[in-house]
Amino acid sequence: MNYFFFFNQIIYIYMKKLNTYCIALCLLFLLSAFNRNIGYAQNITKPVSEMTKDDVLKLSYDDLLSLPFEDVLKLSSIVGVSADQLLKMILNKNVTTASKKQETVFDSPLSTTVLSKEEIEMSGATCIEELFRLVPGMIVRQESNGNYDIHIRGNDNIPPDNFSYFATNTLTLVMIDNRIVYNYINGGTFWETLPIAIGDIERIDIIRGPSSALYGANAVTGVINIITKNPESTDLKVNANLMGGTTNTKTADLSISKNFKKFGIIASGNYDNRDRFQNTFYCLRSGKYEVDTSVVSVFGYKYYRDGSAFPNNDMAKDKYGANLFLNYDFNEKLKFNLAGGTQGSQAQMVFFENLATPMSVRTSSTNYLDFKGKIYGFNTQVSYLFGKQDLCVGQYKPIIGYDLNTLNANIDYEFNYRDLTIRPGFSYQSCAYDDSKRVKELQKEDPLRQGLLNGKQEINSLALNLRVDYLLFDKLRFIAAVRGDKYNVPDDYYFSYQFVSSYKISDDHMVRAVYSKANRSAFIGNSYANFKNPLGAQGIVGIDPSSNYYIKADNYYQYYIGNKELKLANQNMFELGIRDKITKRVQTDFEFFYSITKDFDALFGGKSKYTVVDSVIPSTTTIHVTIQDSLVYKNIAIESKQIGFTGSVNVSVMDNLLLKVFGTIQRSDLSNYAPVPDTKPDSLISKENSWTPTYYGGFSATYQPFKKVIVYADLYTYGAQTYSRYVSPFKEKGTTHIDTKYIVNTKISYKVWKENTVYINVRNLFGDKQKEFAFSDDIGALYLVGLQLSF
Amino acid sequence: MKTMRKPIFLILLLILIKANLAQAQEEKFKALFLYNYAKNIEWTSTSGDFVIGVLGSSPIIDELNIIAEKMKVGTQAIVIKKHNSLDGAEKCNIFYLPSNKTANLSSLLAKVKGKKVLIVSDSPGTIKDGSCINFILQNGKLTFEISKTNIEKQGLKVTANLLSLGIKVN
Repeated sequence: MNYFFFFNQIIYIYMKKLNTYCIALCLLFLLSAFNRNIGYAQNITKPVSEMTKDDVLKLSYDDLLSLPFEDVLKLSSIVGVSADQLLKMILNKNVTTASKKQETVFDSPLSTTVLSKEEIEMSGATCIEELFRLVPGMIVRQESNGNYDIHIRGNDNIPPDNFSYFATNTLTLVMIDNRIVYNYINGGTFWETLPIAIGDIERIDIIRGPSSALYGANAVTGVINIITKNPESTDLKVNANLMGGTTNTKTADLSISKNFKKFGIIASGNYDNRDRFQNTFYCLRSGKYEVDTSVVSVFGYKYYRDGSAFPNNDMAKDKYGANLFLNYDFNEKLKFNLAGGTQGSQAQMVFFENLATPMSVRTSSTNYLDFKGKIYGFNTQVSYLFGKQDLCVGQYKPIIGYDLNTLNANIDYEFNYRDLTIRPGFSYQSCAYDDSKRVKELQKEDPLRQGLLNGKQEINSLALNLRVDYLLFDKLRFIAAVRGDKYNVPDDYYFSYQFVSSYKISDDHMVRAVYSKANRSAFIGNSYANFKNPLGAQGIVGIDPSSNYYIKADNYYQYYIGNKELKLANQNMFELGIRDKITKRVQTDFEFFYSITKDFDALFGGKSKYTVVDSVIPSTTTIHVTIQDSLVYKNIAIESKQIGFTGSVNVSVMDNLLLKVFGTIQRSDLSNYAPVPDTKPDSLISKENSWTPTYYGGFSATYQPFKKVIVYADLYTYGAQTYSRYVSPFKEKGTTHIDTKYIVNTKISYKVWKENTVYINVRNLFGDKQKEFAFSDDIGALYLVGLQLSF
Repeated sequence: MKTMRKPIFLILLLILIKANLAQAQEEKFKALFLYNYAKNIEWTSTSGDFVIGVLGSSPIIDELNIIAEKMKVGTQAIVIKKHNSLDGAEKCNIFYLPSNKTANLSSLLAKVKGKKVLIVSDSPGTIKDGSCINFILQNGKLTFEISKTNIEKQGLKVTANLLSLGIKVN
């Protein structure tokens, strides 16, 4: 027993001491563990007797159905009874998001990862956000139970030392079935507002690198496209997943589906409710975690009103969603999909500013309709989202509550001539946000309350795009995609592009190079903020240098002002990649990337206007003034240069044991950085972006010891980070350090009957409570039990 | 409790390393086999749909549906029917008994005997009980037993090619 604990202790110490190079060493170890063994060509033209199991798994149904029975028998014996679903899952997945056409992940010209429904189900992830810990090149920090901060590669918290919402990811475009689910009030994705849940997902395509040329604005660091399931069975199928556990965590999703050959239908619903791991809040003034009644604003005022809805001491996340998916496949050339749904949510995490604590509650209630049609060579999609949101519930002013309407329409046409594909397209987007109704409502109770916009505002864009894909000699592929957007805000044209070349040395080896540019869109808040904040008398605010009289502010107004002329943040990236099937059991994927991101914007102090409202009264030697102070959105000179490497190795150690190891090492440098708002241009400095960890990655293992049992374990880790936020006048209290953390999860499933499973699921197995995000909650372990039903 | 979590995790890892048993889904190949059986039996009736019945819920239904969408048997469209009972089994061309439905074999035989229904089962010993074709695992590989006698009792004829590919019983 002592030896056992001694051994454990060594493991524990070793894990603690893992440094920047640990992931690279793991990759090298795995590479060296397997001899390099160039595989054979893999296609149907190869004699069946020479095929490997990997070859067989690559064959489509059409291939298999074209073979005589004796060949099918041989292939069956090659595969063995372990038709090896697990191996197939990681080595033979299809992806469509990388180039808008179906291809395997191995052939994808971009940095691509696909999470299949089998991996998703086995992983035990309790929500969609958590799944990204299984993806190479992603930084995933949990802020409170079930609420996450998610980035592709980095470029987070730029500029540093500003408001906390600049730490959120505004550079990644998230879609559900190609329908954009982006937040245009200030950029980014409100993950809890997605109407779907894990049970709805067929797969998730993740593309790393600028992809605006294919998907438009905001696909700057990459694209996440969540593909939902299609009804497969002609029987009425019911699937349900129910899970519950510690910290009052309860999730449920249910779907009913049926396929009538040409017509299919799925109805689904989901629910997710969780408590926080703690009930205190970080107080920006004291620099400590306090109970709600002790939290005061940076100006010393008691911030939270008695009996109001905020903060919520217990609630971390509370969401529901319901969806209906219909599809009608008349034939291969005429296919239609219609989806609609609704969601309601509230989440408490570090997000929108208030002057007391970075934690706030945001609520959302939205509905969507999404139509897709494939009509001969035309592909068309029209989607509409409407509803209301409040990003900082209970905040006195500005009110960040609004009604929203977003409309997206795309149409493109695919020409195919031999190995040449040309795909021209047209897109339109309109996003309207209106807070007038909400503000008027609240002003009835208190006329001093003000909204961020105080009206209805809109951003829109028209775009033309063209994609050319040419395959030469079946090995060399050239892709050029260009897109031009005309925005109303800023009133300007933006061009994005993607030039890709890949060369398949053999069926087992591929190299590729990418040069691309993408831009972010304008945001409603940054463009149209129009907040006038009357702060009343401020007393003595200074001394007039010419007369030495005191200056007394009888009235003080603070303005937040948007800017419709802001240049849009953009990134240029160069990337090299190499993929290998080293042996039939080992696949590697390495990518080297270098990017420059610039034209960020931020809220900074503008000019202050003093108006003398009273003559000098000699006896008091005081000048009475009205001050109109403004904070204005401005472009800033800061540039972020990132260089990095991401590697992943997939190993089928045995037929029933799969390992995935992945990691990223990167460095991000900021230049032309203004450490304080009034820094003069010649005093701008360079510094490392300390909020993007130097390394991040993980591994997962799937093992099926018996037919009915699946054991799954994964580890996610990241290096130390330092976050800094502007908390005038308490700057030192706005800086926080996050240590290296190892998060281990495991799920053990037992198939009781057919596909009906019971499972135990533990998240953060070691119970390391360390915070993963600045000023957020401790993150404890979750112990869950669940039931998966399928009949 | 906290000190116990690390040993638990270590034990899990040890379980992973000791793995050596192969098990997985073979439904796709079973469905392909069924389709090939259909092609290698001489059916006396070639009008209407070609019906493959499956007793109860089985993942093979999804696989068969994929094939049914793509292929025909001769000129006949393939239709996959899930049966919750043996009612209507006599109207099928092939009737598949998943392994957990083996107990229904004798009732099935009584119902469809001589009615030109190919009975396919998935459990050791069922050929001797009257099944026409039975899936078996041999050396970790999927193959099948086939009984010419039982097929002929059903009023069907089997090609020599199919007989040569399976393990002949009787």
